[in-house]
Amino acid sequence: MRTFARIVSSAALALTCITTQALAVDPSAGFVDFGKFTPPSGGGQFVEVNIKSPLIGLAVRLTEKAEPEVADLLRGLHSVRVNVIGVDDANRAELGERLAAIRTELESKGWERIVTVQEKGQEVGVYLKQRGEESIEGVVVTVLEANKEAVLVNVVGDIRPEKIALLGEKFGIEPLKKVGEVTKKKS
Amino acid sequence: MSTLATSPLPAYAVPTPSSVRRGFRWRWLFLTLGGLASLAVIFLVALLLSFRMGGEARAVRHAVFAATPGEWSPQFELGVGRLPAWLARAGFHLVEGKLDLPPEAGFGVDAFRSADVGVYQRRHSGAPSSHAITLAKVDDAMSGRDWESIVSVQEGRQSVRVFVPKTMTDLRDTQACVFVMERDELIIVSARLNLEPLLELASSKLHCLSFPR
Repeated sequence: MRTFARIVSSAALALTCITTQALAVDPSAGFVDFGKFTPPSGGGQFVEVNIKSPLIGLAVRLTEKAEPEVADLLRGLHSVRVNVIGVDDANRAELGERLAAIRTELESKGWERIVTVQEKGQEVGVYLKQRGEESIEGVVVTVLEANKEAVLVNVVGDIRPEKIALLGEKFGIEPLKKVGEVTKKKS
Repeated sequence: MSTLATSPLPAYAVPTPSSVRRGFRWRWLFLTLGGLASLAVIFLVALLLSFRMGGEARAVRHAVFAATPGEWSPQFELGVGRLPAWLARAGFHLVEGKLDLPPEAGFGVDAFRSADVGVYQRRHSGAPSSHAITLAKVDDAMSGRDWESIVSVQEGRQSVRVFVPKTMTDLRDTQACVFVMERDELIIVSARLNLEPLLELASSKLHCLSFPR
């Protein structure tokens, strides 16, 4: 009888694990590999920010008392990646091509373009990967300012595009603040 | 024939119970003193070693030195390891009541676990080094220690990298290593902190409830 109970409980546990895994949101679904970028040869700016879940978890614990709104925002995130590459004559064409390729790839993989801005040599695109009606798996922002810089942002996890500015403010990531302003204006 | 007569030792050399006890006492005294002396030596060696640069800072320094031609000389180099940090905390709490210090000082001292600072200058640089190769070597060295770069900024010949352990999840043991390189100057700063006292301070400033320990 005891053996039977043990078998039943083990089977139930295994079934629970399998079901939980199957229902869990795949954190890699919202991840986009932008590839490697090299700093501009002319000595322009080159920034890489790569924050992953352990650090986000720490940030949640740091902010949950004082700023519960920010903690809630961070809780749904898996990773944040930002690339800023200074644009000069040597890399302008190459960066334009790479950003175009990334946009094409996103569209082919079911990412929805929710914001498009094209003005004064600036191109901004905000893409969203949704899972069903409610859940967001990732956000990608691409910015190309022909004479200044190219910015690529990939936030993996559940985040509304209009909250990106808040994320930028809290992590001190300047490009995210700017992106947030653009998405606020256009959405 | 008596036992004493057959003994190879002269009668005065045969240990009496009281002399045996005295011998044991001396042996224990020597052992205790030796043990204490060894402990003191170990403590001193540990204390001296804990003023060396920590592992991460040394790894970055070694990677840069190996990847760049020329000779690097330290302008300033200091490591404050866990032992001196613990002694400093203990000492601070002993004198805390006697000194008129703001409470923030106590929180700051409690948060401090260890730190390393190194400032280096390159001389006789000769051939120019490849900045990209140097940074790649630093990344490799830190990656080998299971650390990763979370922020990387490069502009011209100036580079800044912030590294943290890949598996850092404990607020009581947070670590970061910052590397700044500009032409022939290198600065490495590494620190280990317990963020809980700082959170407690932040909570008290915000008039919140005290941080749950």
